[in-house]
Amino acid sequence: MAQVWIMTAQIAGVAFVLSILTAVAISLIRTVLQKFVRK
Amino acid sequence: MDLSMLFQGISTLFAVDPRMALARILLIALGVLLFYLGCKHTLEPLIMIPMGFGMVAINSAVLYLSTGVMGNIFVDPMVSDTNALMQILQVDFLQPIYTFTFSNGLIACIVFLGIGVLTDVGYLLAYPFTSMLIAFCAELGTILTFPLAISMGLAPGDAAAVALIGGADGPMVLFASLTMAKDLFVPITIVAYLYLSLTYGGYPFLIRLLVPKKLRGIKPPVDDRIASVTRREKLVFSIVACLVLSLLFPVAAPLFLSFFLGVAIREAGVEKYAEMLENTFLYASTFFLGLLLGVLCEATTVLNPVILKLLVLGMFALLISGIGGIGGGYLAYFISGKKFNPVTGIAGVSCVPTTAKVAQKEVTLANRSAIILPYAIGANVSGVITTAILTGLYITFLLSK
Repeated sequence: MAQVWIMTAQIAGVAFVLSILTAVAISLIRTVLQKFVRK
Repeated sequence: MDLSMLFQGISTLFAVDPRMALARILLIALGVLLFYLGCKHTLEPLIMIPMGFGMVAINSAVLYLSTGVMGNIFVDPMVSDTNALMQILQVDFLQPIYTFTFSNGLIACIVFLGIGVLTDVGYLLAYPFTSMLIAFCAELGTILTFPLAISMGLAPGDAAAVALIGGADGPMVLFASLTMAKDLFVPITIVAYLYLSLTYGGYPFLIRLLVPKKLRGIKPPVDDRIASVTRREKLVFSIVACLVLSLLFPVAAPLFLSFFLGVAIREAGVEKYAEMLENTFLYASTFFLGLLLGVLCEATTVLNPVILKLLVLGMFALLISGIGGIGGGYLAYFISGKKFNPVTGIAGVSCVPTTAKVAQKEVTLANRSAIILPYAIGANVSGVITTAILTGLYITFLLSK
């Protein structure tokens, strides 16, 4: 069971990191497009 | 003439174990109830009306097949032998749809294409951090149900598939259970769709329980961030998100492709495709999804002892995800200096667009002038992405074991 909890924690951790990275990527895409493409 | 052979639907009731006969009668009654609740719009009519009909018909129309075995001429989900399948494809009228669209996940992908066309990612692009934070919190049920299901004796694949009910995304549960829980995908998907239909009625009570009326009426600050999101930004986001997520989780790539292609078609202004996907494909696949789920509800399915566990776990997953979502809403409330409406958190549970509508409805009841829908839709769309991420993670982790 301890192994299951470790795996759950790993999945939750990776999901959290990917969620935040998605938000960062969205902000980056918007910044890049606004600064370089719109002009 | 043997009358029992004339009315086989009735005679087969007396030719089997009484438990099986009772289960058939109960399922017929349940089918009628789902049909009634669908017609009244208490449950989602798009799914429940065909599903209720399917349940009534499949449990009534049991007959003796040419081999002397009892069965039906609707669909045989258990057939695996190629020759038998070829024969059944010519007899069972729903078998072609089951074999060529359901069991390979195509129907889930078509639904996702349609959802993509309906989804405006502008809200997510305008508030990416708040939306993703809430959506992650709203996956609490998806995460915590997994170890609970294992402790209740489910195999890891089955546990992950049932845990994904917490993501409140029907096609995703179907896709995941087809990949990880082939033996249990019918009951898991049925439980998922039953509960998803109940979120509209159940979540308002959860909101009222966890958020005091004063906070429910908070009016978020008005800004022009949504209007500033351009079509080009949405298009770039759709292709980049599809690319990156497919690179990370190839096993869930069909879903990513379907969803983001739908988004791109909407934003590229390809109206002919958008109309076709939204009006024809989405509704046709939802109809057949409901009908197939109904005809898969045979007595043998409910007599499976694992169904009770699935009912408990599905309820737990959605309840904990709802609590997690509101927790995320509170987190955003404190981070924003008490300007953010915590009810928005429930929309992180990605039942698009039901939970966003529920959130706005509850806020309107507390304060008529408070509009949280843009934030709620952002959280809703993010919920689809976080559920897809978790589906990919579960499949990747479990298939690599």
